[in-house]
Order: sequence, then C-alpha cells, then structure tokens
Amino acid sequence: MSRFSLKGWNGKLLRVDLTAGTCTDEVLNEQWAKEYLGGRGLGTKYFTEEVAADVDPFSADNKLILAAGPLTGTYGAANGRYMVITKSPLTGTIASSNSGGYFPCELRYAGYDMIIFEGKAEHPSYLQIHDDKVQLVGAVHLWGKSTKETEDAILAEFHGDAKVACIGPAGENLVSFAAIINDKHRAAGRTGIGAVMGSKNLKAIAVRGTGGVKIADPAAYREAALDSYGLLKENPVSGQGLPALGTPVLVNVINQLGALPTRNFQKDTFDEAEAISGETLASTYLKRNKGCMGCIIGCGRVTGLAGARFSGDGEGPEYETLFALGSACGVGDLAAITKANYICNEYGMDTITVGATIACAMELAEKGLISEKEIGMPLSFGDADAMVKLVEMAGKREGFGEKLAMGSYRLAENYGVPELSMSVKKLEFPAYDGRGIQGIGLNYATSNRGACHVRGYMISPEVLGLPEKLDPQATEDKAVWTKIFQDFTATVDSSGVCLFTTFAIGAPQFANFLTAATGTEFTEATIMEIGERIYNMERVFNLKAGVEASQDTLPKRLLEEPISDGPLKGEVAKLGEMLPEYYQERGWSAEGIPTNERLQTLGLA
Amino acid sequence: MTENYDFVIIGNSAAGLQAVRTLRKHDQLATIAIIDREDCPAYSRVLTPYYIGGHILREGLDIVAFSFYQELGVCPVFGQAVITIDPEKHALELADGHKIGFKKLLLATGAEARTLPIATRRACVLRHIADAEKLVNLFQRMKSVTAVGAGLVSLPLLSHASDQAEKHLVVGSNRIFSRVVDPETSTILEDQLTKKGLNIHKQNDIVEMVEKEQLQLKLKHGKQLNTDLLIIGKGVVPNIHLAAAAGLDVADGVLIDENCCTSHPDVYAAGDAAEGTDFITGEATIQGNWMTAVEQGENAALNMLGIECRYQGSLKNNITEIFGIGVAAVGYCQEDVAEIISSWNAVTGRCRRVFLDEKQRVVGANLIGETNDAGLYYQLISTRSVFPGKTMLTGTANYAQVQFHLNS
Amino acid sequence: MQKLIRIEPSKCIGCKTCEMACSFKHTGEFAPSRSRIFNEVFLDEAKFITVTCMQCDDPWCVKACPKAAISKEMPSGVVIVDKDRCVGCRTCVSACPFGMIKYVPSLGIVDKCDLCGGDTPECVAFCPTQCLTLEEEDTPLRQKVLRFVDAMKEGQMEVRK
Repeated sequence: MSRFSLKGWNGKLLRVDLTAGTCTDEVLNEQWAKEYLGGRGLGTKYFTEEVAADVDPFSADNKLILAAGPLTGTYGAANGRYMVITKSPLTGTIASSNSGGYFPCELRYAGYDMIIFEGKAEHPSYLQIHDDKVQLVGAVHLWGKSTKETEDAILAEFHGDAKVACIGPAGENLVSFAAIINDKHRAAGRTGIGAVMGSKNLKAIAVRGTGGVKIADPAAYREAALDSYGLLKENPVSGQGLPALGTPVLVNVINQLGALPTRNFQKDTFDEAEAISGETLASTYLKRNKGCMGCIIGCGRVTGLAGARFSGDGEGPEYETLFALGSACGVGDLAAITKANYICNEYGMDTITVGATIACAMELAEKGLISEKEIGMPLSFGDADAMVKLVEMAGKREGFGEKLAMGSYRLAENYGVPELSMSVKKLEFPAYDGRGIQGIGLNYATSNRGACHVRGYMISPEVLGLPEKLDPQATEDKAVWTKIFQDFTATVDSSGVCLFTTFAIGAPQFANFLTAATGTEFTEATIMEIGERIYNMERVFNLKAGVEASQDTLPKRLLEEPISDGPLKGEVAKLGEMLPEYYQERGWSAEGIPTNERLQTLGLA
Repeated sequence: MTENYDFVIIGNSAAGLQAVRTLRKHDQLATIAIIDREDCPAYSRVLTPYYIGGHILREGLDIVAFSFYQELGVCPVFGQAVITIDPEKHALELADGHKIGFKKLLLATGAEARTLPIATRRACVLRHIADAEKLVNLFQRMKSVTAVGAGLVSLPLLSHASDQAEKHLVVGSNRIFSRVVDPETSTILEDQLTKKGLNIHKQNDIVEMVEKEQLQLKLKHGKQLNTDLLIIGKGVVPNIHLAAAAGLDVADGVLIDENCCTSHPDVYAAGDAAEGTDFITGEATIQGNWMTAVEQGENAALNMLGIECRYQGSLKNNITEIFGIGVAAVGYCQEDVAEIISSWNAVTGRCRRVFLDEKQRVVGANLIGETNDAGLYYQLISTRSVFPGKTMLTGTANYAQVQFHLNS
Repeated sequence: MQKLIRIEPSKCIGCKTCEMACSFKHTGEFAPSRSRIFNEVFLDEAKFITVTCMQCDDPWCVKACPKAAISKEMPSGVVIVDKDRCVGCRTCVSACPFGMIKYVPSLGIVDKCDLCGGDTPECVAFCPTQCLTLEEEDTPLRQKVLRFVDAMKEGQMEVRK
C-alpha cells in the first residue's frame, strides 16, 4: 500500500465493515486528497467511487462516511467541522451534512481523517476508537436512548474524555430527516443521514485521540492564523453579529427585509418576530455563548428553560430553527420553540425539516385536506403546544408522527398536493424566501442536496453585503455569484473549516492555510477549481441517481404566487431569468447536464 | 572536643534534605550539621532502578552536589556513622570518636532492606548505592532474573531488566502489591504483567537454593527455577537501634507525635525510621514513601524552629511504572472500606478504583494506566473531600473537575 | 513582579483554542492532550473551566522531586522542569494537588506550563475572547487561584495540613 507523504492530513482512514464486524486502517489516497481535500469533497469522492448511484439508501450497500478536513482540529478560523456523506433517504441525492464541535477534532487526534461505514450490523453496535485501538461493541443497552443519555452512558463506560457522535430514537426509527448529533447539541442535521446510520444498526461513534495534527510549516501556519484572526475580528458579522447574538441575530434582519417565511410561506413577515428574535433569546433563556473547537466566533447559544410548561437545557435555537419551528408554524412562543429544539437534539432530528413538515401539515389542516381525527388533535398555525407535541411524535414515529416522519414532500403528496411542500428535491427550505432574495432562490433550485442555504449562502452578498452588496431583487449576475459561492463553499466544507468564517476570509486565506498545513501548494485558482470539481462530481452522482435536471426548480408558490405582505409584497422568484445563465456559467448543457468537456477539464471524465 | 550546632540531622535523604532546606529557609543564622554514613551528597533511592536499568548514569542519581551544603551553610559530616546519642546531654558521638552537640536533633536514619539468610553473590537487596552498583553488574550478564517479594522494589527492577531476560516473581501472598492495592487491582495488574512475559509464582516461597552455574531455586510448590540473579524485595527494617539505645520510645519505628517529636522534646524523627499516625486509620504506621519523608522532614524542621505545626498523619503515596504500565496507589486502598467505585477499560488499559468511607469521602485510590491524576487524589484524600463525581473515573482528571463538582 | 495567566471564566466560549495554541507551540502539532492548559467543558451545566499551573509560591512538585529537577526561578517565579535532570519518576505528579504537572509517555519525562518562558504565553495570544490575559500577580489573584484548596477544605471537619 502506498504511503501518504503530505502533512495536514493524517493520511489514514478507518474502514468499518459492520456486516463482518471488522475495522481496518487504510492509507488515504493522496492524489484524491489533493484534488478533493477532505470532508465533503474527499468523502464524496470515496462514496461515488465505491457506491452505485442507484443504491437504496437503507440497504446494506449504501455507505456512511464521516470525514474531517485537513484543517480540522487546528486553529486559525473555526476549524472544528466535519461532514457526513451518504445517499439521502429524504432526497435520493448525495447527502452531505456538516457539523462542528469537539468530535471532529478528536477524530483527527486519534489519527484518522475519515471513517467509512459499510454493510449493516446484525445487532445495535457502536464504535469505540482510542487512538489506533478500534473496536465495535454492542449497543443494545443504548438503543432507544436519547442522544444525551447515549453520550453520558458512553463516557461512563468507555472514556470520560471521549467525544461522541450518535443517533437518537429518530435515527433508529428511520425518520427520513434524522440527524447525527455530536457533543450532545451539535447536529449534522439535514438530509436524513441519521436514518442511514440507524439502518446500519450503528448507534454511535466514540473517539478518544491523544495524538496530534502535523503541520508542514508551523511558522507560516501561525502567521496565517493571526492574519485570519484579525480579519474575523474586524468583520461586522463574524466579529460582532454572530458572537453577540448568534445566528438568531437574523430574525429581525430578515423579517424587516420582508423575507422571513411565515405560515408555510404564505406570508413573509411575522408579527411575533420580535418575540423569537436573537435579542429576546439573549434576554430570556440564554445561559452563555459557546464555540466549536478552535472557533473564534462562538455563535453557539447555550440555553435553559425552567418554566412550568417547558423545561430542559441544551443549545439553540438557531435562526433556521426559529423559522422552521417558529414563523413557519406561526409560533411566536420562544419557550416552545426552544423546547422543540431540545427534543430534536435529543431524538436526533433536523429542526428545519421537522418544523417545515409540521408547517405543511398545518396548512393541510387549514385547507381542510386533513382531518383533526387523523392528526389526533386540532392543528392550526400558531399552536405552540401542538407543534411541540408533533415534534416528539415525529421522533417516535407515533400516531401522526408516522406521516410526519416522511418529510413534507411525501406528506403533501400523500394528500394530493405536493405543491404545498415548501421544498426542492424533497428537502425543505431554510429561512429565507427565494421570492424576496433572488440569488438564494437560484441556489436553492440548483443545490446538490435540495433546498439548502449552506450550499451557496447568497444571503451574504444579497442581504449582509459581504463581500459586496447586491440588490436582492435583481437577477443580473446572480448566476455568476451563485456559482462562485457554491464552489467556494464546497472547498470550505472540504477543509474542516466553518462556513461562517467566509464572511471575513476568502480563497487567499484558505490557500495560505492549506499550503502551510499540507506542504503542497494551493492558490486562489486551485481553491476555486477544487470546489467546482466537487460540485460537478455531486451533480453527476445525482443525475445517475435519477434526480433529473428538471428538478432544478422551486415550488409553484415561489414561482407563481407573489409575496402577500410586507416590504417585498408582490415579488416572485424569477428563476427562469437566472437558470439558463447559471447552466452556462457552469459549462453545462442548456438541459443542465455537465458537458464532457467541462468534466474533463476538472478531471472528472 | 565537641562541635556544637543549633540543629543536627542524621540522615541525608528525603527527610533530612527537606529538613535542612526548611531550617535554612526560616533561619538564616542557625548552625546546622547533617550527618550520614555514606560519603556522598544526597542521592535518590527511588531512582536507583532507573540507574540499574541503564536509563540514567550514576551522576543522574545525585539530588544535590557537595556545593549544595556549602551554599546553604550546612556542615556535611559524611562517611561517619553515629555511635551513640545522649538526648539529655544534647550530644552524639561519631564512629571516629568525635562528639557533636545539638540543641535540636532530627533522626532521619531511614531503614535497611530486609534480606534472606543466604550467602551468594547472585542475590541482592536494593537500598544503598552499593547495592545498586552490584546490581548494575549483575544486570549486564543475566539471562534470567527472579525476584522474591512483590512490592515496590522487585517489580520496577524486573521491568528494567532487558526484554530478552526470563523474568520470575515469587510472592508469598496470593497477590502482588498486596500492601498498596486491593485484590481487584492486583488481579488486573497480574493479568497485564503476565501478558508482558512475567512469570508470577503466588503463595510461594524459595525453600532451597543451590549455587551452580546459575542459582537453582526450589520453590515451595516444587518448581525449580534456574536464575542468574535473585532480587530480594522483602521490605525494610527501620533503623531504630540508635534511638532505642538512647532511651527513646520505639516500636517498629521511632515513635513520633503529631509534631514529629520523639519521646524526648529536643529529638525529632522523620521518614522511613519514624512511626507516626496514619492519616486514614489513625494507627501508628511506618509509611515508607518519599512524600511522607519530605512532609515529615519539613514538619519536624518547622517544629524544631519553634514554629508550631501539626502533622495530621501520613498517607500512602506510591507512583511508579512497571513493565510500561503506570501504577499509582494513594491513601488507604483495601477492600474493607464502605464503598469502592471503579472503572476498568481493557482497550485503554485504564483502571480507576476509588475507595470511599461511609461519608462518601475519598480515602484511597488505585490508578493503572495513565496516572496523571494521582496528585489530585492525594489532595482529595488529604482534605477528606467527598468524591467529586464519576466523570473523574473514566476521563483525564484535573482540578477543573474538582472545582466544578464541589462548586455545583 | 511575578506574572500569571489570569482566567476570566465568564468570557470563555469553550473553544479550546488555548489547548491548541499551547500544544502547537510546544510540540509543533495540534495535540490538546499535550497542552499545559486545560479548557474543561461541562456541557450539561454550561460551565467552562480553564486551569493551568499557578506557579505556586511553595510548589509541591519542587518539594517532591527526588532529583531536584524542578525549581522555581526568580524573579519570574516560574516553576521549571529541567528536562535533562527529570527521569520521569512521577513523584511530582503524585504531589501536585492540581494535577498540573503531567507525565508524557512520548517524552519519558514530566511537562508543565512555563508561561512560554517570558514571551506572551501562546494561549493568551490566541484566546479569541480575552478570557486569558497575562497579568502582574496581585494578592487577590493569588488568593483566587488558590481558592481551590480552600474550597476543598471548607465544610470539612478535618484538614490534613
């Protein structure tokens, strides 16, 4: 087996055959590491090389890959991230879901860059990693436990310093939007990766690592870090907004803009926005701010509820959660949203999809398409108690929860109205209405995992003015910007660094970091090329998986129903004005198929 | 002719050294003498296995140089044994006939290794530098080594022997380290040591010994071992004859009160020769470890200076590495406590057994594997703290955990 | 006057950058297990406690060392391990009530904070929230850092020393 000569990466992956119960170390493919970095890129490269695109997500042939990046576990920006790659049971696309915390770094300190799970364990199992000592152990005693209980039990029986990523009951129950939760409160949330883990009878991964990440040029790396620290500190978003109020800082901003989706996108301003804002959270349930490992921003919100109706503690809610479980459901009760957030973390579920699915159910109920009897309770927009109850039922797949567990698209389709699902490629929208902010609409339509804001966060230029201010309503140049954002994000997601750093640092800084860390040269151009390569690789997989280019669209409501209220009243998503240009920018055919020529340029054909 | 000093210390090891340091720190003017039979600056007995194993040179054993005594203004009287002490006359006599007067005297006379009634150049105890030198020679040529007595001399020494040597351990008890760890911990350790190639012969003894090309040992259970070297690790006997002859109260050791004072108000004792109260059991005990000697040496010195200072008892505190495995035993570690909480992980090789009294206070701890939290347990025991929480068992502990648990 | 790392826990975000910076400076690798400062995160209670050696006035480790390999340097007041003298016997480890001097298997000797030998300590330089600062020692600070010992003693009927 060839040797791995570069620094930055550990150069080692762990392959776990759950069927056979074996764990094997492998040298990381050095050529691929240079071309795809790590995390999302390298994980997807391995996945697409090893798994057929038409695989059933819940079959033993699907694989689940946990991948850190070459910068994970170092300092300099916010370097505590990893990605989970598999085929999504929710969307049928490539699934890659990002999370941060301590777990990703610990995996690197144990000597691994990546874990590939294949097959299916006969019995509930979990993986223990203590540096190079690795074993699969029984998890029957953990099955059914919440993510919190699971982590506590593992710390007590394995190692008190171990970091844990696990699924809760939602993953076990194959809820199609189940998440993998690490460090108790951080979620690799979207696209149902937790259900894939559950389908493999894999409850958790516990890691204790006492080694270190080696850096090719420590002095240069330290300089790059100090430079990046300065930029992150000076930046109004990463240096002020996020540290001060976390992502919920956006509630008031986006509501005032008139693009905060409310009542399943029937409205775009929320009367009770103030009650669920970052400012209100800070003065009510916030206990303290928290960062992932190696983070300079610290956007995490540690909160606690000690009321008569709702109690508990944890982290969140984030902005997206405040939308999904809040404005989307017409719920302005911050305690209820926070509680529902805790339930999502403990059951291991994506707050966006579960909230949006409940919002969809509320509209179905409002329109009389679904009966109170079927739901088991009266349901209408604004009913906080029902929302909390339904979140739990979804996690348990209990009663109506069985239907919710399918996600909003299949729920709405079930009642003959798939157009009421606010989703693209069956993945629900996050908290920005593409009718009011055109670029994010284009990104939603073309994102490789469905409607996702963190595949190309066009909110940055269109709303926050970073790196420069674009008119949200304009469609000009949005194709170019979206492509750049999507490609750059793919690189960031593959490096191990948090996307939030990109408000302040760009390709030059990433090139510096990666060059100093790995000892092989990266330039601004290679940073962007790597991102584009990853993006096209994902696209090719999706097309092979049967997710056709015709699905690069938005729900009828966004394309045809104008915003009904607020400053952006009357706006619709002008996708048709941007999509052809986008395909052209990408060097794809007019039908949205990557051309052979472009794929060859990128080394993909 | 008599030389007179304010303070005289007999013994130039842990207790004696800490005493002279403490005396000088608080009193710049006092005259101080330190007497020892061995004619060399203080060297470290706890490090002799490292020397024998070839990890450090002879100089590496030195704790201080001759210049240390000069700089501190302490008169070294080395290579001279004390023959008699007369507490009433505040005087002592050396082997060469010299007399030394003192106002206060500290007996830090240590202990001698208990040996077997045998005469063979292939058997050796380990106590003094001369023993170490002898072992250095024997270690170089041996293909097989046997130790009798499973304590803190035998096991570290065996683990410093070369990997190629055949290693045997003969234990009278039914388990190893029986004085410092509980049976469960012994079992875990025995298992690990056996895997590392150590042959353990328990509830056994050497009944016959014939010296031929090798030493032929016949064991009680009938087995015969041929060995190049026999290490005798049967414990130590405190040096109390001087004190006894001087009329001081002695039992196994020189009896001391809570000020480390003997039955004579101007004579103090500390370290391996002193028998004082055990912090946990309250019983008179000779603890025989380095930390106790340091603590008692300091405590005695303070009281000799007239700085009233109570020593509330000694604690077992041993930390070592055997066959590459860290082992620490702190405080009272036997099964008859109110509760033992423990964790054992075969993958990480990490074991924690924490011994609690009926009030959930920590009285002892056995640690195997990584032992960096030993001092923390020493502190918890010293302050009679309740056990902070089970997370300390499976994770790396430091005082953040203690601070956290005790404040919440 | 002696300087110490002052820790303001309320500013801590639990990012462990101090551990990363410390290990990177002293080992050339990002290896928090090798850090000399410890950022402990208690997730359930939302408490972050950072601890490091407080360079005691009368250090337990110095007293315990059977080889006089540890000394308190003046005037800096920093407690230093002489790497050439230390043999890794760990007696100091069993003596430090704070668990702040640690045996490192890969080195075969013990390791502890030396305040980066006179420079701005790397943990202070990289702390993103100024939770860590290097301050001239003052009596209240020393009392504060030593409160641990007293906290343990409080409420106990018996005290050993």
